[in-house]
Amino acid sequence: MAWLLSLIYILLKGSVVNEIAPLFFDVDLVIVITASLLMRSGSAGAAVFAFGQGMLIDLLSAGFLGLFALLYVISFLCLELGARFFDLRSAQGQFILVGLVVFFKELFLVGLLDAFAFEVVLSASLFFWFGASAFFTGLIAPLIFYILKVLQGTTAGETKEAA
Amino acid sequence: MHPLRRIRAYWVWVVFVFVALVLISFNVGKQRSWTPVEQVVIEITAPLQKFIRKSSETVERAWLKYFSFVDLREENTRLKRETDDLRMQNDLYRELVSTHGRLRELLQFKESIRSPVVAAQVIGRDPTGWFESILIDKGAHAGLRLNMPVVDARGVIGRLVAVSPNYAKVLLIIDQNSAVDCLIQRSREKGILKGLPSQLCRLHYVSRAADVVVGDKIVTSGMDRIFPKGLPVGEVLEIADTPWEFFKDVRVKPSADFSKLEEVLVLLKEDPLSSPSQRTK
Repeated sequence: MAWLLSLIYILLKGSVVNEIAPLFFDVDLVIVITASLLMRSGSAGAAVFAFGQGMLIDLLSAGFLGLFALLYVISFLCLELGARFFDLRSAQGQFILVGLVVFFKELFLVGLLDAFAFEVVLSASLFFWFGASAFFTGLIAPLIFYILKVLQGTTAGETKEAA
Repeated sequence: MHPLRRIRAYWVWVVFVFVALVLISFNVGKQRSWTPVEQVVIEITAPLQKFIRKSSETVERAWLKYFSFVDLREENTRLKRETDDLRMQNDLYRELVSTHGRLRELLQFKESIRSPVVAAQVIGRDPTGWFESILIDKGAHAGLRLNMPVVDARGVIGRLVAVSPNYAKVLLIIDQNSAVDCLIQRSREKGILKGLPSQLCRLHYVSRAADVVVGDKIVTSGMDRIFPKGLPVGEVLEIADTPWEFFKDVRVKPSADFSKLEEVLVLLKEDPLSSPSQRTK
């Protein structure tokens, strides 16, 4: 379910979201779902998910292969380390940790782009949009966690009934 | 935590970082198409992308229609029904006229160029927002190959950078990693056109002595062997001539409207950058 939700989100970003949203405003559902998987399925599942979604973005984008895969694996590590300081089971913890990781991801992306692809001009507006992306991603994180929990519960129930 | 479990928690991360770094070091600065495995992924995900795009267009139309209807609520039922019918007919007519206009322009453009072309629909855009590329619904089965130029009725759009059996990825000329050898049509001065953020381009290496004015048309030079000579690219928007710089800073507004790309033409031209052995395959 997490994979499907994330896939639809990535395809939606390529079809609709990026056309209507401001250029650097990026509500990152992949990181929210990775955090949710880290809490429910453990490190391995979350890492495979983060790497897989990064690879899919790399395939669909004009950037070089491995850029977003690395970015999301790094984000996964930040989530794993951050989970020691913030409780991912509480809405507060989800908001803070996801927001921080999204902000860090954007900064790391700028660094990678600057190193490998093209010069990124740093400006106040760029940091404003990074902050807005982090804030709004953090804000929707508890909702996505809840939706995934419900969906997972439904799927688990159906599997149990079928058995 | 038990030391073994701690090691297990980290090996996943180490393996994936290693794989990602290997991928980056093999791919950065290189041009490569999709591998067979990647093509399978694209062939599976692209129809979904096409479906999402079509659905979003339908929702957008319904939404706009809803807003149009809100204003008419106070009118009587008969007039409302009539207005709705006429409006729907009008919407349909406008859509047909708009599609007809776009296709006619494309057809006229197609007739003006000598290469055979394939028309394709845009089904998706770059999901990152940092790069400028589009996904089109034609691929190797329609004769598309790497580095084929892509145009629309207004001018150059980009070139193919990855091809699967039924889909292809186009690197737009407004991407910062794109480069097109160009000429200023009036003075025949040369330059390399590269993308800038915010859907503009910069013409690099235009010497300070060069004859260039705002409004000059920019066309392809044909020197890069990818784009045929004389295709419209854009027009000069702004020129900055700084005394301590070797070159003029020439900003170019592309002819094509990249925010409204729906149909494009791919010029079926052999990839000049592939080796002879690859071409015969």
